[in-house]
Amino acid sequence: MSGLPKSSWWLPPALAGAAILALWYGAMAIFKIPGFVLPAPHEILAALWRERAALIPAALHTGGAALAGFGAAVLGGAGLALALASSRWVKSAVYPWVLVVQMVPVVVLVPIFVIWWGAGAPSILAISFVISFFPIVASTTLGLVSTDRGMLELFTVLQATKAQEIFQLRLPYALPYFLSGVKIAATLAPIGAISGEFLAGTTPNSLGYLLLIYRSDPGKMSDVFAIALVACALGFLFVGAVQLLSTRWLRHWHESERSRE
Amino acid sequence: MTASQPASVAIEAVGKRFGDGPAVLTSVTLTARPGDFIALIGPSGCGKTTLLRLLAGLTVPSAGAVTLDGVIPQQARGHLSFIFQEPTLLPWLSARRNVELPLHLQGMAKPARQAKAEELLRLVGLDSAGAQYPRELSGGMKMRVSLARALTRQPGLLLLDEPFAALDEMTRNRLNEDLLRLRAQAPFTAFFVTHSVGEAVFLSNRLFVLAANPGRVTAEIVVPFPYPRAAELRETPEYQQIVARATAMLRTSHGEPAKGGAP
Repeated sequence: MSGLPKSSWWLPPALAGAAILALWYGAMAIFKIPGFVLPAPHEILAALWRERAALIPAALHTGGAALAGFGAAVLGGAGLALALASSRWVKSAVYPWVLVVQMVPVVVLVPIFVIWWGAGAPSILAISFVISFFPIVASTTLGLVSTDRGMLELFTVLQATKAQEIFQLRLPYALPYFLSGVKIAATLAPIGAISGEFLAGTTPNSLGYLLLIYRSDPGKMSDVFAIALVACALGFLFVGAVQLLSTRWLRHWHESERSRE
Repeated sequence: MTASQPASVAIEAVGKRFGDGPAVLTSVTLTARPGDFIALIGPSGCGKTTLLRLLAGLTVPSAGAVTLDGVIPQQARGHLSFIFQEPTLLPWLSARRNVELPLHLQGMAKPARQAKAEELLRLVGLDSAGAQYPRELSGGMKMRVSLARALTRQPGLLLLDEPFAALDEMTRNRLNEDLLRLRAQAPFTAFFVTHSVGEAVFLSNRLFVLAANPGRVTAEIVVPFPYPRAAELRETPEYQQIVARATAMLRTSHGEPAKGGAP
């Protein structure tokens, strides 16, 4: 980007945000939109404050569920990717079926999970897992099979063992791919957890379940928007944490984390 | 790791084709004495890179045999190093740790391999760049790191596949001079593939011209200048005369598409 000093990175998004707020208020005034259809931003902030006693524990609870699903997806996704990359035969046999599972909409999976494990935590974790699992598998597998050919030949000439080739070449080479999958999973895991709570939740102490309660009351539209804000914040927290790790691990060598000298 | 003596190389009636494709190389016979610096020049598709890969054991001949000090390349890997067209540095390792890599893979202890890497970086003129990552280095510096890495095992045979092709002429000349200086300190036999006739004449004591379709050796030029060679060699009429002769031969090998078979 040119024209802006480095310290003013926040200026363009802040200006865009102010413009959106102006449009929001303007539209509400011009089209006389009632609050139960579109609450004003300050009403949403007020709801956020008013409902804090319910929202904070719910956010923590949902965050925990998302973290569990996300963690399982990272471990399972990386593990499956390793298996897929280990041989062409395994990949061609298994990968289509991974795709098939991925194609099943979450709303179809939910009743199945609920029948298997009942409504509640296990099903919610499973939904969060399923929704965030695939990007990690897909991008990590790609990273593991696209190791630079010249580097592989270098390792051949240097008489590296198979284990050395895997741990000192293939795995580090796949790291940026893995992290980009993890980053996508980090945005999806909270969405999965909230959807799971909304569709199969049993405890009112969660964002998805609160949503269920609020949406049945037309007077609580601003509370629904408040949940959207909290869900956003949760997503940012997840992605931010992954981004932090990614920057730490890749800043010396990968273009995606190139520090702007 | 003990230093290898400069290797002898025997390429005997070697032919190479990939699958059912046309012959990439046919009836190539070439013997390198220990300490020879052999340059291979020729048009694209003449199989010079394939010849190098055969010597490294990265591919096997379809006919004939390649031996290094009497054994097949796959068994001589400990004594040879390959410098690729690209520097092929691992981007997640610092320059010093890239140079350490061959020793690390051999299981050498950290202090010993660190000291060795520092020494080699000094030899290629990168004393202060050890902590930098490849991304932070210029093209010429990356190639120097690649060179240092290739020399860590003190190879008896060094194979170079157009290593300096992507560099500007000044940098290339400097690296050529440095390569000869390094060879004087720790002698090795070398095969150097290049498109640049000047580079080939400056470096080698024997220069082979290859032709394409099918790939074959069409001429050998003996480059009589004694080592060590200084940069001023490039200004002498004798040097320019040989460059002119090699260029003429290269033009001939470009201009006469053969109908197949050995020359």
